[in-house]
Amino acid sequence: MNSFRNLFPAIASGRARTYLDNAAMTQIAKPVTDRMAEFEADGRSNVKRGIYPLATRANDAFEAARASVAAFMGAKDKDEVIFTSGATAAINLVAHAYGAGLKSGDEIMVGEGEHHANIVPWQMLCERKGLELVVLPVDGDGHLQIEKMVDLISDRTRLIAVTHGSNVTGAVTDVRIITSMARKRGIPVLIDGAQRAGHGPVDVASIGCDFYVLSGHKMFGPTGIGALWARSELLQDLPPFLGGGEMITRVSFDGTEFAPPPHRFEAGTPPVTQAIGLGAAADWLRGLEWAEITTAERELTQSLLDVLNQHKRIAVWDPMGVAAGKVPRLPILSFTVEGAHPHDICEVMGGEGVALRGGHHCAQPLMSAFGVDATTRASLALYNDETDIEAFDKAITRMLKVLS
Amino acid sequence: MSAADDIYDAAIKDLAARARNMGRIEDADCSHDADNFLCGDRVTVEVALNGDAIENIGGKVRGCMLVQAAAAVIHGAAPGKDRAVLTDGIAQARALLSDGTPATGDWEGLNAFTPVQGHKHRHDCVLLPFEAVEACLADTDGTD
Repeated sequence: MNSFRNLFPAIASGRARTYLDNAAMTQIAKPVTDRMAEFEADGRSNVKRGIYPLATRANDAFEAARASVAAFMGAKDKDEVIFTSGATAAINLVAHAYGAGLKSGDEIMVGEGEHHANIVPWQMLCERKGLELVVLPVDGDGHLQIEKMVDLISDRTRLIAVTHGSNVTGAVTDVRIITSMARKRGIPVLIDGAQRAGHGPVDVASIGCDFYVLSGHKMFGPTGIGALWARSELLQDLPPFLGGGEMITRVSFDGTEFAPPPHRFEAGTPPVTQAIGLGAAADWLRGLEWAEITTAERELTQSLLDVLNQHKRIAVWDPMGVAAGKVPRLPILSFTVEGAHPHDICEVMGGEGVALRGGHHCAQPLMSAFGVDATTRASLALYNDETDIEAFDKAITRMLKVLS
Repeated sequence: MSAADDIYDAAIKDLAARARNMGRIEDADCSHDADNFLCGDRVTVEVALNGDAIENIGGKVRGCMLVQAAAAVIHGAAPGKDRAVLTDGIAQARALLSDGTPATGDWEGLNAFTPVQGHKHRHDCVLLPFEAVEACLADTDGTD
């Protein structure tokens, strides 16, 4: 049995049974809940203000969590990390703060296969500021057609926002090529790392991006917390997004002076316990052997593909060339079944104890590009093992019979 | 049989298959798209009226088996009836799902959805075509 399973109570107890919906939310790790419970029981206090010992310890724990997340992301300075409620909020923060300096006619480029969280905030910004949204298309296998960037970038391109890994197909974006092309033209790049973060630490320095976002609930951490990393040179000049307490140096009715980053972007009492939990998740993940885990995830992905490919009624929306073992991919795959709707598939599979996700996966433009309304998605995490594949295999066979 | 299988009995499958018989109505008096924002399913309903009578009902269904089956029930029950029958159908569908009240009269076909009552997360699937019809007819209120 996979040794990680014992660190996840819902997995170990069997309550989550065959949990293959990790792209939506991973289970939370015991080292994370332990640290959160410890803080709530023995260290709870507000942060950034109090000077009594308990408050000092709470603030230290909060800032230590920031440092943990920074280390997980390969950031050179912990103050480049801003706690948000998740990746969606982080992207919205950039859309507002960075977008404040943009002018009518400027352009934002996004990938066609993005999650709605990396489309809608930019559409809303375009609406507010009179900008143009330029779409970098995907090819038939779900990969961004990076070669088309050359033609789509213009002297009005002000930001490129792409995913690090697709939440639908598992296709991994070659982000270094994108950042390299963008840097030559002085265009900042935002990487949506929500899916990638659950599969090991990242290195924003080597990626060469300017903004990177992630969510705690997809990396074995708590819900309601995420982070934005931004290059410090950019952060220094950005205006705040939300106003309130804790993000100022001085307030009077003549005006307000804003605090330096990261506090400028963290108005109000932050979700302290959740931030500490995210830090615990980052610490735990940094301590794991990712070469082994990645190999195991790849082998299980291949096993899932083998199960699906046995059945003629099933088509896998597996990016060609991204099949397990060929090129980097996340252990996420989507499939359709002839004559069966994804919700019906998930209903039957769920009844067999297999948790899958059916629908458009908040990626309707990608569904349109594929010419489908919805798919069924299986997504793995480090605690999945061959017993899950066996259960998936049995449930698939049963589902095909029920929905014949 | 698992907990989910009771939904997918022969009656539901038969109804869902009949949804393919719904054609488009080019000269419809009203048309409405209803979306399930959680999953992206969409039902387009088109209704042709003759006074207060429903002359024909058609449209396009992009949804799960329950959405298709519910659309087929409407398509089978409503044409040739007074528009008030649809209001009754919507009420009977909601009553069946909420407390298991058996459907009667023109809407006896709804009883195929009795097993769905215990699957609250799927009630919206059954109701989606009804909500599309409800909104569609609301567009015609006072215009005919």
